Amino acid sequence: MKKKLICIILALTCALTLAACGGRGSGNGNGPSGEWWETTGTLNTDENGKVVFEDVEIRLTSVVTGEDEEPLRQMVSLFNAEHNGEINVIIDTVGQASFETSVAQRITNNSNAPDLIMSHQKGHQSFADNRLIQPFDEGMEASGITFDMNDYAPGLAQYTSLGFEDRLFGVPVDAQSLIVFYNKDILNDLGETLPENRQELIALCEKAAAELKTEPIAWSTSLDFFTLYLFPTALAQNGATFYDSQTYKADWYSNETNRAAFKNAIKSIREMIYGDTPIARHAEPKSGNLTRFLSNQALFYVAEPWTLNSVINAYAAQNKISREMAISDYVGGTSLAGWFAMSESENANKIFGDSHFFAVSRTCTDINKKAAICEFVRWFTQTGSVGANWAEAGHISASKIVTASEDYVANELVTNYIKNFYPSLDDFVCIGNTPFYSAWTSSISSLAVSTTSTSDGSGDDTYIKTAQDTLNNTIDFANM
Amino acid sequence: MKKIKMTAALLLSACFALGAAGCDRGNGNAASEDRQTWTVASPDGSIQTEVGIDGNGELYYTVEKDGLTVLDRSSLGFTIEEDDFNLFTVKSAKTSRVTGSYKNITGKHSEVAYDCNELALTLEAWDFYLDVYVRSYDDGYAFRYGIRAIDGGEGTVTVVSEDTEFAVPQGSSMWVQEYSSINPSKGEFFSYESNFTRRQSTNNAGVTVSMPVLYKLKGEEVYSLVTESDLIGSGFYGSYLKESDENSGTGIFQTVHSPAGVAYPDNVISYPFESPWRVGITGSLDTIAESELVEKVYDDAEYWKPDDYDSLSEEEKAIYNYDWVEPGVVAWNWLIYTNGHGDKKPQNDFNLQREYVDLAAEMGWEYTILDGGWNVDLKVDNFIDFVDYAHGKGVKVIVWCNALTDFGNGNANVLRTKLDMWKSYGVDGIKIDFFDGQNAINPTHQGEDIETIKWYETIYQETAKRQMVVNVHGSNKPTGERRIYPNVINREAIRGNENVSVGSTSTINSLFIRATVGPTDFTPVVTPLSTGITMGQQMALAVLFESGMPSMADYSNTYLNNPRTIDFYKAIPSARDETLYLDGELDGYYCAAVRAGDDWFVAGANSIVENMVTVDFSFLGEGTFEVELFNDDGNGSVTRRKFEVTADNSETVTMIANGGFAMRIQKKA
Repeated sequence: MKKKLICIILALTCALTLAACGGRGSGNGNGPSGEWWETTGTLNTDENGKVVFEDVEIRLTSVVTGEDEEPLRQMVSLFNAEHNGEINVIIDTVGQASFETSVAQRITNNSNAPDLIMSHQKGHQSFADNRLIQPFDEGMEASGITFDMNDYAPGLAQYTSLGFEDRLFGVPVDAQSLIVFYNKDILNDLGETLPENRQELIALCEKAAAELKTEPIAWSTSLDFFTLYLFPTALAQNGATFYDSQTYKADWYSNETNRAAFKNAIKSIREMIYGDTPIARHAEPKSGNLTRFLSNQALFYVAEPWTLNSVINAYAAQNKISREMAISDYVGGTSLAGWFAMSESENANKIFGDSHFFAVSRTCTDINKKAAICEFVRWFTQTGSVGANWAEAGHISASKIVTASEDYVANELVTNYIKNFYPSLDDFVCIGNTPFYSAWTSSISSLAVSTTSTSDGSGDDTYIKTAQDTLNNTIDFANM
Repeated sequence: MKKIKMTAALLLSACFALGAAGCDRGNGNAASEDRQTWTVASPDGSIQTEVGIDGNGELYYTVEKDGLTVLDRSSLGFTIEEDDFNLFTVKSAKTSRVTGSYKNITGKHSEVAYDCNELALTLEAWDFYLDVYVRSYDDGYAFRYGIRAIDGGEGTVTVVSEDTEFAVPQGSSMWVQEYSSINPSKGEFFSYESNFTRRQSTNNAGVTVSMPVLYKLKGEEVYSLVTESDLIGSGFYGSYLKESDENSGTGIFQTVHSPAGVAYPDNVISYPFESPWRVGITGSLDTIAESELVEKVYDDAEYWKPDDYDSLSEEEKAIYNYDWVEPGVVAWNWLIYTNGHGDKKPQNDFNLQREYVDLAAEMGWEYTILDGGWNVDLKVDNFIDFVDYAHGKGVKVIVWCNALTDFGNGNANVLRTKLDMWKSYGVDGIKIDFFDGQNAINPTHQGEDIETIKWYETIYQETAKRQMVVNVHGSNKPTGERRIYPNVINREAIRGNENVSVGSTSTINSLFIRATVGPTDFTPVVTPLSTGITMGQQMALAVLFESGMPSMADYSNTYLNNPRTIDFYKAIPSARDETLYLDGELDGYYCAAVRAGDDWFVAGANSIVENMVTVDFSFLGEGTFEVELFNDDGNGSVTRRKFEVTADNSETVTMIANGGFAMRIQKKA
């Protein structure tokens, strides 16, 4: 009896400890006693028990601040117009650099806190661990508006529970990575087609380099997204493992297979810049490589997807043609798939990037708001025309419902660009659920900068080891 | 001394309490009964502003429009370190009618009449008077404070807080431009270029709200736009609205110091002091859109003259007639060439600048702007040749400058020297940028701190002396300054085309809110820069945003080589005689008519869902008119249709999503 009592006390102690540090349980999350969110109010329903929204206002804070911000605002305005008198979504935006600190602070202090956030998936584990977000479950249950993760790209849907079994902490919206524009005219003049693997890419680019008398790939190695997206894409295509899913620590150097993958990835980029026939430049300013593409001096232009409209418009303006003509005859869209894979493998077409997810702030308590959030997220991620609008801003939808819709499939920009930027979302890779993603990003970025700025690969081992150790030391320090 | 004051305060307080008890009007708690109230009605009686002193001696006001509560009981007052305005006696309360008219060089109307009733309440504290001037106009209310020494002296006092409240009635919807630093990693900076979004009045906890802000009473077509006026010259800082901690989530907002410009204790003001006006334009959307209340509160104010005006020659005195201020359309190429992704050209490319002089001359536009970078590697002789070339074609030259870095971070001597130099080159005006403080090298001149507000004033005066017009960018909102400085004929503080990606909901709400309070430099293009606004809407915005210097921002060939639209753009008005709001709704669409001389323009801008608007031409008066209607064709361009109308006709126009239309209307001989 005494033994049994001690066991019970011990079990309770463990459970509380886990809850206190955001530990992930099973079944219903941490169970009612472990839930850090609350629900207030009574859901408005009609006589049939169906949810009725009446002047429900929800605050959405989004990390989207680029050229895609205004389209996002327009979409929110459209939702508000369609739900006039029912739901009003107030949107504000906070840039990526300060999003997680600023929004976390607002939620922690419950001062100007959002009800809903739209941010990169990589930050959500940390948000959940720090009890800043809550699952959608109660809103779904109350409203009957549910999200089946089978309706979303599996590569992204796997990150929605954040380790809390049977909980839905995030709904994937889209994917974004670096994408590639190409000059149809130059490609035609070369008598070539788009490459299907690295070997074909190199051969095509060497031919183009001879023809153009300059490097045919216009990219900016100094762009943040070069180190954040392109370099990890090269890693992924060469089979690198980013971190251990249990410890979050890296074995980039200490594991020989992984070290080889890292070295291949570095080599793949270095060959393009410093090979016998350079096909891309190092440290070319962004404005310079865009100018080269617009003035038909580059076959490929590697860019952020949300610049889609501005690149097309600028090409049309520069070349004094209509936008329609630019789309149909001059500016094509393709992807980085296969560009860096030093050998054929199932990894060869992987593309690394970020994904926007919706998540509910802990500070949202009113059940009517939670239900309204479900309605908004359903509208945003399951309406074909809305997905097409978001695609026009450069984002491929993570929703199978959207991508199967007629509005989406028939959309000119989706057909000509978005589908080509991301041939298969099954090959899309993002960093996943590590709470140490900032440290990971920092180490990867340092490694990218160190290794791509030199033609000499003799220091690669050291660079890889330093990057690995820096990340692991940070994790060790945090775990002390 | 302080102890004596405190004792006296307690005694006085007790006297007030007794006095209040003596005035008890019957029921209830004597202490909560008002001691005194005054009602200020607008000339037509529709606006009723009540000012009261409650049983606790607290000053408050309420506002009604046609019997509907526009503002619940809201506090009035100032707290300063040197005196206690909570303990006062009523020195005087005078009412008067303030009426008159004035002419505008630029504005919504060329002639404006003003008419209101005013209460001038003087409250006597220990050493200072607190004056409260409260006005009711037919289109809203306004009030301001005065602080002056009882002994008539001059000096400074330290403001602890302005205690003005705006208690927005429960259930109201607000359209709010939320303060958020545009460069948070560096500091607190704001230039009024974000969107206005709708939110419930009680859903603003923790939000700092910029002015102007608009709200609508629940279930009524009654709106109120709250803003400030006569800021420049007040010696005060720019204000925002925020709920206090105790009023969080109530919709009761208090005026607070600009969040931008808090890098040092920015609260010392000189007395005698007159605060900026706090203005609430109130009524239907027609009233809001057509109101000039922000500028009417200046009454019959004279244009600025220097202190030594009387000693000036007649020729020098004539400068201050400001008849040299010429409203005019601007040819501006920075957006397309220097900021653009396309064929990039710097502003010191004088071949490009001559091309735009030629454009302006061909189009009959009065100005061209050389934007940032124009003076990089400047060869003065070549520049003077350029200015001569422009002047030879009848085109005036505006040059860009940075409000801080170009002038020693607020150094008036540097300002004068550079303005003299540019004037000697023949420059006709400046486009002055970055008042938001991002370039400040000292704790001062950040955002709307007192030094920045004074800096605006210095710039306006020094440019006026040199007969230079001013277009203010990266700036705060308009506060009616052109009533004193008519050379300040354009202002940014708008989410304009410079942002490249601008959505139609943003433009619609900006038309209702931002454009109501003063000139707006939206910088319309012809070919849209993004998918957020169509060509039809860009044409409409060229008409709808009032500005003394509307900047036309597209390629020169876009204007010159389009035979369908060239005459429309040649006729774009800068000075206007009348502005008539025709139809619209917040978040939805906006339609207005503008008269410039004998020509009328009607334009409509639409938000995200298709809308129809019926234009009733009854405003045209007698005669037959020819209408040239431009409307989106749905394929990225516009259609043009000509037809005749009289005042008895109307025309229904369909506006596509994000679209718009523009009409040029000319009377037939």
